[in-house]
Order: sequence, then structure tokens, then C-alpha cells
Amino acid sequence: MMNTSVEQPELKVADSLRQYGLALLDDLYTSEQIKSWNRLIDQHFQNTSPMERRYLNASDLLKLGIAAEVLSESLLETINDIMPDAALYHFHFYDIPGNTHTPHIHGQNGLKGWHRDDDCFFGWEKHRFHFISFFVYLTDVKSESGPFEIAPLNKDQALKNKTPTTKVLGPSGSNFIFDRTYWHRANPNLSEHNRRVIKLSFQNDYLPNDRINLEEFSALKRSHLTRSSLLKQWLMMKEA
Amino acid sequence: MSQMARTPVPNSEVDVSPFNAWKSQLLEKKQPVKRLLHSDRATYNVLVIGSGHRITTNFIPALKSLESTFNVTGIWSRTIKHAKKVSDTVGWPVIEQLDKRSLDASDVIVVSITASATPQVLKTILETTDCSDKHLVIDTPVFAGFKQSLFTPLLRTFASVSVTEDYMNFPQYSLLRQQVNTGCIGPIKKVTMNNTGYLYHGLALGRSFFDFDLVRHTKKDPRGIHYTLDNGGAIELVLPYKRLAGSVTIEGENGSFHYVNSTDQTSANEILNRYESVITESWVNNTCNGFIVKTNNHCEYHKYSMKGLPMMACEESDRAFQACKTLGLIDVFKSLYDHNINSRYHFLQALYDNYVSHVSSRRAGKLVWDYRLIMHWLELVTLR
Repeated sequence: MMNTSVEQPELKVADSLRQYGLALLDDLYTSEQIKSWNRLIDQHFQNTSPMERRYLNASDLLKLGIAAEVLSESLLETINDIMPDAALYHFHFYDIPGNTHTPHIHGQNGLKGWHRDDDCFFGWEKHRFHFISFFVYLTDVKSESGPFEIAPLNKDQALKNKTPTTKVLGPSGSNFIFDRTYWHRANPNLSEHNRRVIKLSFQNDYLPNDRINLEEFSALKRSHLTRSSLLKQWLMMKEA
Repeated sequence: MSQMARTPVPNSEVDVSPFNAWKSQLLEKKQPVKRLLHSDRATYNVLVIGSGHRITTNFIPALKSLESTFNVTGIWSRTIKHAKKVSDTVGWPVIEQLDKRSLDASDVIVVSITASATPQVLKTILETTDCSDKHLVIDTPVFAGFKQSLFTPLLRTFASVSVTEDYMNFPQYSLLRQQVNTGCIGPIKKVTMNNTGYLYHGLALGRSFFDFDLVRHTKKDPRGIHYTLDNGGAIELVLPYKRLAGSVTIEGENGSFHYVNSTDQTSANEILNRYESVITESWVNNTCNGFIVKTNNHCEYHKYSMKGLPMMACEESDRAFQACKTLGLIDVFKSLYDHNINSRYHFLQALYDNYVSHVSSRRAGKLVWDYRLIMHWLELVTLR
């Protein structure tokens, strides 16, 4: 279970996203899958220093055999439920070294890393989701190991001190979706251990998408995975 | 069926206050990082400055107990006669003048003199030689009076500074910390020191159970002094101070753990019967030879011995207290080459405890609305 030891009532994913900017999902992947992904990633990075920020793009994940498992039926269904016109624009793995005292992203922005992603639209079609991300933790994430944190302030509210926030804590395999237009941040990873995450981001397919044509997605487009029509849509592959 | 989501529970809050950001940046930059002595060396040369009661009672037995690691190359004192007296007892060479040669020959400089004279002696040392590779061991309370806090930049020029806050290292308190750190009483809520814990020594001991969290507010009443810490923990210092004749109670979410002083076998037995989780002295033939830790009706004995104990120059009645001080001092010296709780207790922490405990015990304490500001002041001064 993720985030809290107290069992919490369930909400529809879309309602949770609207209300909190965050939807904590039940485990979509088995612990064996997570272990096997970690093993493959360890082998891939065996000759690099654990202090470097390690990164794998969609093409690397495909080669390692991880992409096919991440893009499971359950994930496709979940995303399709909340964003029927989803297109993919991030699909990568990264690993944040421990013993860091600033957030790895926007750490120097004077707001302790709190940000709303600037590739998003904020004031337009407020009733719809436009930019969402899906995270899977590949390592146990405690409060000191750089958890993702989000403030349930809607798009019109400024970030204020003392606003209650949710730090997403949980064992490896914990996964969740968040709305990228909400204020969020990565906490600094103060722990001794690296924090590993697989991240996918989606936007509506009618919005400009300058990432889906990058080389890293080409291999995915050529793979057998595109037998799924939904995945074809995610990769913005036009039907012949 | 479509996927459901669990309701997110707020478990933190936004903190983008520029003051806090400034504070954490400052702490990150300026918190003295303790550099340890090189582990490839078998022994380290020590120069001792001072020849008072503290040297003869605690430093001599502590350094004698650690003589396989620390080799005293000389002792200097403003009153050469006193230095010679120490030299006659223990054989340390007397240094007549604090010159470059004698300072350069040392890895560790021990300063145990009256606090008001410390800045002048430090200035002399720093004017004589480069101390960036020297480790300073200095007695509490480091400096005397708030004005002397302006001398803190002097301390930053040493490779490391260890403050000999040996009270928090008394064996009974180390055992108490060990026990509560196992989580047996849950998160610690309150530390109560009954008739024990003098001023800054008591505050340092109390804060050691809270990972040296800063004091936010204090309150003084006829019973004693109450400290409220930044993260909500509480320390209560019940007066009057009676050296060892008192007790310390640690209250956690799931129970409490005590240290209660016993003066003989009978009182030790009474204490062991009265409390479920307790530490008290262990007695054999009317002599205290260590401590008993009782948890869940199980007793563990911790015996203490010191090679240098016979060299302790003190009255027989004071022996138990001074033995604890010397054992605590040994732990401070050990932190020079190995991490222990003293590694986290740097000079800013010691000065902070000194100023907070003095201000809070006076009427003027009411005028300080947030005691964390004292640490910020010290950081600012050190930053100069």
C-alpha cells in the first residue's frame, strides 16, 4: 500500500485528479516485475558510477524489455478512462543519487523546487485534463528519499506557505498519476540510496507535441507493441 | 472495470518562506563539517593548553586511557609553574612558549582554560601558525558572554572543532540514548531532568535525544525551566540542580524510560523494582562499577573501567561524578577519529546551548520570542 497505513476510501481516478491533482493507484505491477526491471537496469548501468544521474529513454526501455511490461493493459485502460485522446510525450526512467540537498528538478528556483510544468496550458478548458504524468517508483520511497510532493491548489491559486500537501511515499512498485498543472516538486533525496522512477507523460493528441517525433520513440513505433490501436494513438501514428 | 484511486492524505505542507530557504542554505554552507583525523596514522600528537583542575581531573585520565592513539607532545600554561606540576605527575613535556615549532608538531590542540581567556589564546595560536590541518578540542562553554560570540570565526579556521560537552556522554545517558533509539518507547515526546543537568550541559543532554533540534520557546517557573523545541519536543529541567542525585525520564508515544541515580545496593534494588524500564548504577561491595539496564524484567550489566582512572585528581566523594565526566571526555576524543554523537555537536551547537540556557534562566528570557534566532545570529557571525 502506498502513502499511508490507514485504509482510505476510494475515488474515481478522474475525481481524485480533479480534487487533489493526484490519483494513487493500486499496484499495476507485481513485485517480481519490479525486481526484474531493477535487475535489468542494474546490468545496463553496471559500469557507471552510482553518483551519476542515470537515464533511460523509451528506446532503451524497449531494448531492455521493460517498455512492453510498463505499457500494460491496465495502464492503457486507466489512462484511456481519464484521457481518451491521450498522446505520449515522455517515457523514460531516471535515477536520482542520494545525499543531495536540493530537488533534482527546479531545485534552484527559489521555491524549493515547487513548480507547475511550463509546457502546460493553465487557463484553458479547465474542465478537461490536458497534461498528466504517470510515475512508478522502482525503489522504496520514504520521506527522506526524495518523494514526489503535490499541493492540491488549482490552476488559479498561488503557492502559499502552510498549504497542506501530499508526499507520495511507498514501497517499490507504488504508482500514481498527477496533473502537471498543479504545484508539485521532487523532494531532495537526503537518503543514502538512489531513487528510481519510470515516468510517462500524456497530453491530448490535438495539442502540439514536439517530442513524439524524437528518435527515442521511433523504435517504439516500429515495435510489435503498436499492434494495440490505443498505443498507436498514444504514439500519434496515423492509421494508413 | 475502471481503476479506482485511494484518497490522498495530506502529510506535509508547503514551505517556500524565503527566511527558511535562507536558513537552510546557510546551514548547508556554513554548518561546520567535521573532518576526522586521518585513519592511516597510528598515533596523533596532542598539545595541551591549560593546567587547571579540569586538566588534572579529567583530561589526564582520559588521555592516559587513550595513550595508544593520542601522544601528548607538550603542555603549555600561562602559569608555567602549574604546567610543570602537571608534567611532574604525568610526564608531559612543558612548553615554555607557544611557538610555531610546538604548534606545528601537533595534530590536535586541546584548550582547557577559563572561557574568557579563550579568544586571546586562539588568536595567539592562529597568528603563530596555519591551523587548517589542526583539530581543536575545546572546553565548554567555548566562550564567555554573548559579546564573545563575535570570535566564532576564529573557530572556523581549524580543520575541526570538538567541544568537550562530556555531560551528554555520561555512560548512563549514552545507555539511555541507546535504549530509546531502539524505538522501544516510540517517538520521543519529552525529556524531564529532575535535579540533574546544569544549564547548558542539561540543555545539550536534552537536545541530544531530539537530534539537537533547536529551542523555539522557553518558560521559567518555580519548578524549573521548560523548553519547547522546533519540532514540538519538550525538555523540562526541574531545579534545583543536585549533580548526580537525580533522575532523567524520557517519555515516548508508547512508554517511558528512566535513569534514576542510586547511592547503594539497596536503593538500586528499590529502583529496579519500582520501574519497568530503567537504568541505575550497579554496586559491588559499596563501589559503583557500572550500570544496570532493566527492560521487560531483563537486566543487562555494563561495567566501566578506565586505564587512567587512578590518575584522577579529586576528592573521594567526587569520584563517581568525575569518573562519568572522564568517560564522557573519552567519547569526545574518540569522535576525532570515529563518528559518534559528538561528531554532530559542533561549536555552534555548544555556543547555542550556552546562550539559550543562560538567557532562559533569567528574566530577560521573556523578551526572546524565538530562540532559534540565537542560532541564526551565531551563523551570521560565523559567516563574516
